[in-house]
Amino acid sequence: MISMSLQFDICAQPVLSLQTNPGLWRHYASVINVDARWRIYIQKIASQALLTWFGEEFGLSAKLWPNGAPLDIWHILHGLPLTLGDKRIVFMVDEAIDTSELRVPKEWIDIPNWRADYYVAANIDLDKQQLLLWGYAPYSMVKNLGAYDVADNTYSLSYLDLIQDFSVFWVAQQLEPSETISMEISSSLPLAQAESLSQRLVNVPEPRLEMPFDQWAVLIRCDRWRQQFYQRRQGHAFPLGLGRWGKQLTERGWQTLDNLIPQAPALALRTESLNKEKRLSDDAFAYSKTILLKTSIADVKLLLAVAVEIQADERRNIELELYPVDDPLLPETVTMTLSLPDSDEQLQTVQAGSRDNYIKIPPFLCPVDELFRVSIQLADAVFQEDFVS
Amino acid sequence: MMHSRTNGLDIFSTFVQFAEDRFESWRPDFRLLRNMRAHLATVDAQNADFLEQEGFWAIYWYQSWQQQASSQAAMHLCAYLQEPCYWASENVARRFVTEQCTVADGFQVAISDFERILKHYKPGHGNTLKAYARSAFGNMIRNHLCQLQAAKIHSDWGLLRRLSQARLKQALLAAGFTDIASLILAWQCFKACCHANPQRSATRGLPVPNPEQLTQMVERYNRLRHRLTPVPPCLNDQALSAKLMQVVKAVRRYINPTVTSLNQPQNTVEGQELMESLRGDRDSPMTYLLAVEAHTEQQRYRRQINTVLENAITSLDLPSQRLLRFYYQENLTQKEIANQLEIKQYQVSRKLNWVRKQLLLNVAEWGQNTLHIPIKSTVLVEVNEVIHEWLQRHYSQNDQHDQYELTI
Repeated sequence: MISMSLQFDICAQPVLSLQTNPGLWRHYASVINVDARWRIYIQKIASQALLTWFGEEFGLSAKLWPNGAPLDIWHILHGLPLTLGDKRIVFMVDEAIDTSELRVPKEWIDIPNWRADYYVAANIDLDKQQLLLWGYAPYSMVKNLGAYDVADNTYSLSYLDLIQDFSVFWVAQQLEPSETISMEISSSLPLAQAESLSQRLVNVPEPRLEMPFDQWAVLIRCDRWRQQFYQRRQGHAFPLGLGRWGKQLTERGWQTLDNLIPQAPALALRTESLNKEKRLSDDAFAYSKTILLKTSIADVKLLLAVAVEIQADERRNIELELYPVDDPLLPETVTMTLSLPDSDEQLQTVQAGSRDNYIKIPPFLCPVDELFRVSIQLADAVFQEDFVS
Repeated sequence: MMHSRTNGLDIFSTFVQFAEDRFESWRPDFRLLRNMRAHLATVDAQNADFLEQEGFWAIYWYQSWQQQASSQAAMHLCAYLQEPCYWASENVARRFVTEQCTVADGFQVAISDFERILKHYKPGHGNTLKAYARSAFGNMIRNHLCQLQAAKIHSDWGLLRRLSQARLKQALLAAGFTDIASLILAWQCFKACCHANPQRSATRGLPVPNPEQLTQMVERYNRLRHRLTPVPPCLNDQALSAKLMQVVKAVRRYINPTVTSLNQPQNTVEGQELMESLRGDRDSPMTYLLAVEAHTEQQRYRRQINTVLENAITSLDLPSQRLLRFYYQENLTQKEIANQLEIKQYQVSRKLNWVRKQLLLNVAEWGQNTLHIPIKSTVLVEVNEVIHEWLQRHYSQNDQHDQYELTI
């Protein structure tokens, strides 16, 4: 029988340990597309291992590019972009056991301000919880030596062409001049056209292969469009605007508190005080929505309430509460989390104990047009909604 | 134990002969022998210095293989690469004790692909074909072993997820399929739709796709098939399922092949080759001159690096020097070194990396300052091969294993 890992002794190819995380998998339950959810999960697990490794082994601070959690990229595209000093590195994380080739989607090569200095071939083994970095190539090598596959718009390089010794990588990234170029690209696609393309692509399995590459590139290099496209594929037309609440809220299942009180006795008690405190008016709203969490054990109905008060300086004072619907008490361990969807950063989490009839996230103030996410989680079931304040 | 060949004649015309998984002898190919003898005689008349220098002949045959795609040159190189291939296999077998793959198995797997190594080797900056081949052979054999191991512990469907597309394609080609593109697409659709559930199961036990997954795969397949030329026919659930079963079978067959002996000497009975060699190809004097030039350049560069490295090693602190000796001279694994030095294995690997990086840095900066060689990944990798080879030779002079007959 072969020892644990064949690569262990080849110090030229680093083996990173990683933490598989069923909780993280649950966290992405709201990603509708199965392969997108898997891709996001893999990239996320691998990026955690990489960032830790760069920090602990080399005292280097690497960052995900273009932001802390590029879900809007990962849901359509494979590849883990990191910034290390002035270099950009794209890690291609593959589940293969063999180290035969590096495959890089055209996007990472041919969109000018997306291109990287280095492309690293990484094999992830979730069963053994390992990430093996086994080879890399600089941009020019992938571009010039790579075989281009029109079937899936990918460049591939044989392992015989890759540099399979990371001592070379360390010296190169330190001394080699950067090849990445950053340039301002004016998005040349008219809004109406972007809108119609985005409409057309919303349900196809591989949007990146649905249209000529140049057209596709114009779309996805634009941050705003890419983020909107992600929301749309997630079944959200847009994050819910909390400004002056209107039709879009009711279309998506939100109602005024009054209509729901009979269903949630615990809420009835609270509403009175809520009304008194907030003095609901033109500048204060409270809406709620019944949500259904389907855990593997049971279906649980809960009620999420959002109260917003617009301050004189236009900032929003927001309060979030969660109530049971059919039972007097909340199910134990149900959690409510406030986070920023762009960075995956959790701002606040509250969890119900065994005798809570409601839980709340204390009121917080935020400026206009801030994007935030509320997630409710119970065991393996998750509900999520994004809002814009 | 294998003994290294010592004269130019043998090095370019004999092949490893195994007996029951062990090295038995060097078996000559008489046609290559005759050809080599003729070449040595020509050179002898011109410059006796080159007579025994394998480095020169390696370049010579490599260049004539490159320029004329000569199959005879390829066979000379195949004979030449027997040793790095054997050592690579022996090294893998020693470090990863396994009954699944003997030294002979590993050797056969790797040597059968030697022409790929010729195609990918890029000469320049003193790096030799031999050093490149040894690490490439090592990678091939490790790859092969990893797959054998994976094949053992994975379900059919788990195994499919754990193959690279390149590997899959090789398996399909080996199985003789002609509709490779559509099979690869089916496999891609499978990978997109079927994976383990991180909450419950491991990839190694991945089950047969369920009907819902199959429907998703079919939808995907039928949509993406239009990107292929010619466009393959539309498939239903059964047809896609059948296609994937073909892939599974091809992969299983490919990963546990019966190793056939390829590239063995063809002319092993003296005299048999006579007719053939009568029309033997004569190389132009130009090929010879180019090889002399390339060889001189390589040697000059290696001599310079030699000095830089000697200095760099001497200036390392004693613990680092000791580490290098353990690793390169005594051939200890990192684990063994860790035990000897009473430190953790990761510290050994960290330290080794650091030392190797320092050496490379030294040579790279010297190259930039004195020879104006730009610091680029593509150059660094060649320099690094020279360093690695140098370290092996430097530390293995008393060790029979790695006694390379390298000329400097």
